[in-house]
Amino acid sequence: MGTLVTLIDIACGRPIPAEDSGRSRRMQLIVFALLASLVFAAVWGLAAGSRSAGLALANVYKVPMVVLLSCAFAAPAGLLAWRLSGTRVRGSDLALGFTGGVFGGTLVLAVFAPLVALYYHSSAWAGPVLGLGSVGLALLTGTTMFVRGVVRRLEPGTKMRTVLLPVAVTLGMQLLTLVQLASLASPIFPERTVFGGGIDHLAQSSHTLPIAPAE
Amino acid sequence: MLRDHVRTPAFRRMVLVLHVLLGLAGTALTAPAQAQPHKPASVARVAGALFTPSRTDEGIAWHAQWVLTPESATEIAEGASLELRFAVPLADGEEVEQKPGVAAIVENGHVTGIVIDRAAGPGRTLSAVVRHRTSLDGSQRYGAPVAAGSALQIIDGDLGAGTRFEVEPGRILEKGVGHVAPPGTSHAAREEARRLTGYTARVTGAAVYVRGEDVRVEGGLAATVVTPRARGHRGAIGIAVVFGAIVLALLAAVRRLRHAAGVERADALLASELDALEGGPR
Repeated sequence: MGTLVTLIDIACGRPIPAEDSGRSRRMQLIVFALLASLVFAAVWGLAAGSRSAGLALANVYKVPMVVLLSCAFAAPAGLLAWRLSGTRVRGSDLALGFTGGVFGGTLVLAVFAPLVALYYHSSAWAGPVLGLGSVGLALLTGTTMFVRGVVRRLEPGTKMRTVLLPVAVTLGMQLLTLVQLASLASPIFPERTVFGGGIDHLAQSSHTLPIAPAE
Repeated sequence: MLRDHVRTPAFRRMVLVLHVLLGLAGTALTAPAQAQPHKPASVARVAGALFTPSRTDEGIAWHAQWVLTPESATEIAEGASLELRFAVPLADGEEVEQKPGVAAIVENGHVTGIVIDRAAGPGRTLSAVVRHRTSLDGSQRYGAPVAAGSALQIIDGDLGAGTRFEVEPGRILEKGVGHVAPPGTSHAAREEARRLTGYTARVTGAAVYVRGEDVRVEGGLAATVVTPRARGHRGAIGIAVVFGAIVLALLAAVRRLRHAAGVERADALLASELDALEGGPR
């Protein structure tokens, strides 16, 4: 429970207590944050697919998979950007900020899970809207927590823009991987959504070149 | 007196000869008009074509739109009947839907093309439907009636809702970004094919640009119907393995870090306690 409270504190951007600032302890917090995120994501997945038992059970694996793999695929790019940007922020601070953001975002999903399940069972249209809305809110919350967590832990004299590059790269990569992983894991919702077809579907709906035929 | 002349055998013979002569002259005058339909129809040239599939109870209906060259379109408008030959004959279970101005050419039991005339409609674009009775399982012949010749034609493999034909490139095609086309096909050539047919470019990979000559050499195209779920399943096992490996690594890290983190934390707490006893950090 103490670790969970520490993680929430970190996600909220509070300073890391002295007893939790050791290298191993930071690594432990990062791992705990990721594992807790998997549990939160599974809870939301269960709620989003609760209209059918098969979908709900599948979501217990699929949603955590989407979350974890998006983190795993985004992290190397973020670390490279961190190295190349030459920022003075510690790598573990960046990783802690990132996992704190993921932790916070999935916590939002878990908090919304009962509401999503309730509306899915009692409304024809509000369930999917709330489901997608909770995902949007989780992404927003996670992004805010990541940026705030990293910026607040900057050493005095460090330029903020140097740390924004790795943050932006990490977020961009995670968003790109999320779109495709969600499509691979589809269906997560009982309904067909705009994200079910991945980047092909998104590009198709936005990139069309209507041309008049030959007369 | 005139009546007497009419009744004479000589006059009757003269009238008979005159009648035969007039008959021969009439035959000679009308002969060219009667020979026209028996002349073999000349070949219609195609500038481009678009084939779009839709699902039916029996399989696939290919909605074909051939865009004729201005010369061929003019010939048809002037009353000529032209043959439009397919790159490869339609296979068993494939047939051209009946419509005015379009008649199938059947050779050796297979439809090898169509004969088109003015009744098919005005303009350069000629449309027809080819019905393909198929089960849509596994690899199968691409039933689009690609016209013979070197014009670049478009086969849209999109069956809707993310399901699409995925063509097997073979030797004559190569995969590009969002399309499949013969090697060396320029962007301008694809753009021209789209412009001619009014095809809306989509980034799906379902658009296949082909030339009739290539299809003829290859003996037809093969394609597979792929659903979004099937596409997802291709990588699902690999993803599941990666996910499982990462979760196991995280759990192993938890066990490994537990002791080291506990020691670090205890050291840090002890240090802070000592600092407090000594009156704060110096």
